[in-house]
Order: sequence, then C-alpha cells, then structure tokens
Amino acid sequence: MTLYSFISSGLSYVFTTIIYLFIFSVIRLIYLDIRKMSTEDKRREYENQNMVQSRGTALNNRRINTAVLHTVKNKEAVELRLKKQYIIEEFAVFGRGEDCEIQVNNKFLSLEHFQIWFEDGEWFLLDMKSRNGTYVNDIRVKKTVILNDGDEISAGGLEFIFAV
Amino acid sequence: MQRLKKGNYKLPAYLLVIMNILGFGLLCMANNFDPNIMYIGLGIMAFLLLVYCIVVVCRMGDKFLILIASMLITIGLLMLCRLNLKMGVRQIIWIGLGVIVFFTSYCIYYNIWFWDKMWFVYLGLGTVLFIMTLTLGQKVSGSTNWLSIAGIYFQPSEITKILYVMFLSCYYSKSWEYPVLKIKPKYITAMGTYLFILFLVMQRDWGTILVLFLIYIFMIYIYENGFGFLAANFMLAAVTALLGYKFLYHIRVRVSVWLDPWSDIANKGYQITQSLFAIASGGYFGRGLGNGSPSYIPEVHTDFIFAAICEEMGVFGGAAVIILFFLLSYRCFKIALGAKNPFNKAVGVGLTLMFAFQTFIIIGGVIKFIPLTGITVPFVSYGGTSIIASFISLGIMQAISAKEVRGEKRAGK
Repeated sequence: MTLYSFISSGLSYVFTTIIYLFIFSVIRLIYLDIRKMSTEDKRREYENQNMVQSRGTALNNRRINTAVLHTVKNKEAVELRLKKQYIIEEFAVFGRGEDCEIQVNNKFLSLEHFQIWFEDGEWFLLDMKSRNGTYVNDIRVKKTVILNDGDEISAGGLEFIFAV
Repeated sequence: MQRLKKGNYKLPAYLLVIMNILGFGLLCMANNFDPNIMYIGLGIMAFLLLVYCIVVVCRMGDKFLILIASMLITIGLLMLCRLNLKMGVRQIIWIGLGVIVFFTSYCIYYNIWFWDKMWFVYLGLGTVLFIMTLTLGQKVSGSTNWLSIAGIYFQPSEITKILYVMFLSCYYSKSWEYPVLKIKPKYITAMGTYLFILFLVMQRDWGTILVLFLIYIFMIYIYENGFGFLAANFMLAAVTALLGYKFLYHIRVRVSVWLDPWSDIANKGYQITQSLFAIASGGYFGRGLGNGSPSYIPEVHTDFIFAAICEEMGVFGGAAVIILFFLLSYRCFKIALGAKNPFNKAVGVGLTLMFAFQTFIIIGGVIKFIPLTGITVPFVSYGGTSIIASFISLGIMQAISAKEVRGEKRAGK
C-alpha cells in the first residue's frame, strides 16, 4: 500500500463528509427560505383583509405598517404615568433619551434601550447595548430577534405586550 | 419571540472550496506533484464561485440552482480528471463556455417576451437539426447523432430537447390555440413529438427518445383534462415498443442484457457487469480517488461515470449525487410552481422533467434497474454539448425565477 493510496482512501471519508455537509447546509437554507416565504404570505393575506375592511376610509395608497406596544399595568408603569399603548410606525427606538420615538423617563433605562422595526414582512427587535438589557418572553435578547404577536417585552422593570 | 435565524449563504461556498482544494490536491499528488493541475483546479473553483457571487449579488433569482450545479460539476470534474487528464482539461474548457452560455441564455430569455408565439420556429429548427444530423452526421459507436462543424463535434439532439420543451409549452400555456390547416394544435404537438421520435429512431438514440416521450406523457398528464388522450398516446407507445422489440435487434439485445447480463458476460453483458462490479467494490465510502480501476468499464467517462463515482467515492457518494439531483429538481419544480406567466410555468415544468428523467434513465441503467440506454448525466458526464445544453436549461430556469422575484413588469413587457 503506497502513501498515495493510503491518503486517498483516508480522504474518501472526508469527501463524503464534505458532500453531505454541503447537502445539509443547502437543505437548511432552502428550509429557512420556505419559512420566510410562508410568513410573508400570511402577512400579505392579513394586509389584504385589512384593506377590505378599511376600503371606505383609506385615502392614501401607501400603507404604513404599524404595531402596538400595550403597557402592562404594574407599579412602575403607574408611577411613570405611561400611556396605555404606544403605536409604532415602521420604526421606533425605545429609551430615556429625548430623540427616542418612545421616550420613558425611567432611571433603569438606557438613553437608547432597544429598537423595533419592520422589514420584509417581519417585525424585528434589537437591543441597543443597554445596561440592564431587554427581555423578550423572559429571555435576554442578544441578537436580532423576530417578534411575534403577543410577545412580552420587558426593559428596566417595565413590561409591554407586542401586538401587530 | 422567535430567534432570527439568518441563512448562512457562505457555508456551502466554503465547503465547495474545501472539496476542490482537497480533490485537486490529491490529483496533483497522483500526477507527480504537477502544479498545473492545482492551478486548473483553483481556476475552475474561482470561476464557479464568481458565478455564484454574481447570481447572489445581482439578485438573479434562485440562489441554489447554481450552487447545486457547482457541486455536481466538481464531483464530475474530479472524476474525469482522475480518469483521463486530457478529457478533464477539455471538460474545463466546455464548462467555461457553458458558464458564458448560462449568462447569455439568462439575458436572452429574461429580455424577450414573445417566446410563446414562436412554436413554428422551435419545430422548424428541431427538424432542420435532425435532417442535418441524418445527412451530414458522423457515426460514433453505433448511432448517427454527431455533427461536426469546423472540427468541433456536437450532438444536436441535446439542443433539440430544449427546443422540444419550448414547442410543447407554446401549446400548453394556451397561447397557441388557432388551428393550422384545420388541424387542432393538440394534434400538431402530437405529430411534432412523433416526428422527432421518428428522427431519433433513425439515429438509434434510444435514451433521448425515452426522455422526450416521458416529457410528453407527463405534460399531457399535467395539463390535459381527462385521460383519453393520455391513454391513446400510451397505447400507441406500447404498440410501437412491442413492434420495436420484435423487429429491432438493438432493442432486443438491450432488454435481454438487462434481464440477464451474466450469461454473455464477455460480450454483450460486459459493460453492465463491469459497472456492477465497480459499484460493488466501492463499498460504503469508496476506495478513494485513484485507487479503483474504473477504466475497465467501457464508456466510463460519459454514460457510466456514475459507476466510477460509486467505486471511488462509495455508495454514499453515489447517493449524494442522486440527492443533489433530487434537490435540483425540487428547486426547479418550486420555481415552476411559483411562476405566474403560463408559458414560463410550462417551460419550467418541462425542463425539470428533462433533468429528472435524464438522471433517472442513466442512473437506473447503470445500476441495472431499467434497461440501459446511452444518455449523459447532466453536469457530471464528459461531453461538450451535454454541458452546454444543461447550462442553457439552467439559465432559462434562472431567468424564470428572476422574473418571478423581480416582478414580471420589469422583465421584457
């Protein structure tokens, strides 16, 4: 058995592994692609239904995607006199700073705490390196996450429920 | 909350790079450390990656088609370079041409919108190609299906398959409904099909006949209402096949070899038995690139490349090739399903059927699952026309998906 045939037969296992990893990664990409498309379809359907309902009142053709943050009533919320709900149009930054779309004067919040935005049929949330962190359904947000209807968002002791 | 899973579009490309470096490194070692092989390998790898990047960056629709095709090309090319270095280099030149053809056919198909009105062009061009082959053709290993122009040999039947799919799509997309000479277009498509099949019988190119006929049957099955026409075609085909079996020596030999290759192992059954021996000796993971002896199989570089892959990359390698083709047809079907323009939909279905049946027929033949008919494996086998035709079909599929993604308005109309 020469050196070459030894290496070659060893590499045959490597080749098989690589090819199957390749297949696996392609299948995973296809799966993610399909899921993205199906959520987009659902949203389109939902928007169409809304269009039918508001046909009488709709004046402009350009639709602004809106979502609502419902405030959960607790002690801090009452003390800070938060609104019952905050409406997000396409994009909003939540924080203590004055430039924020949703400004809440709470000492546990950072100047810019988190942001929510709409893109490709999905609502996204990203924590903006806040000191005390943002929690969605009691899990601390580290990367960008997709928000679903009814998710609980909590930041600095305040709690909100996300609704599309 | 839903964790945002971002698709990693780089990972498959990296795997492709590793596969190429290892494979061509091994080939380089087998040829006394000739650095040229490494350069060739790296060149083709960079070329394929460039194509993938262009497709992704320019938003040319589906990203997976070219990726899967690149992997198939890599596997086939490694095998070819190991079998015969000269052929491998020629194959690389063809692949380079094929990529240019891919972009050309993409641009042409994307920008022209009157494809569905030119059925007579497809029919005429196909017939002219067949007549040219019959009169000027060269006889290579029993079948007259080679044409040589300026020293380059090519097989017109590969191009005819695409023309045939477009011809059928004209009718099935309902954009051609007027009768010609008082004959309904439905019967003209049937006559066109049988005309092409007649020409192919004269060329003794059984594999292509099978592909064309299966495409036709499945198009009828998908588009026609009721089973009457389907049954009539089926009956006609069955009668023709029986007559062919009775009177044509070629077909009888193929069927008898399929049923029992062992009784005439030295002559007629030699090819198929050698292929079976090769597949069996590979085991699960194969004997390693360069360790096997696939050169015992006649025609190993074109029709029987699957047997060589099974021998040196194992049953798992062979299964991987099948899975890759499976994914390719799945993606193509998905594009066809999503297409809104009926002509694009029909062409998508036809080309998918073409890829799928071509693979099924030759791999089935090599593993003695169905009678063997000589035909190339798309993207894998050696053969200039085969590679070019596969790239044209891929370019058309890409254009269809791009039209869908970018919206029909900006394309053509």
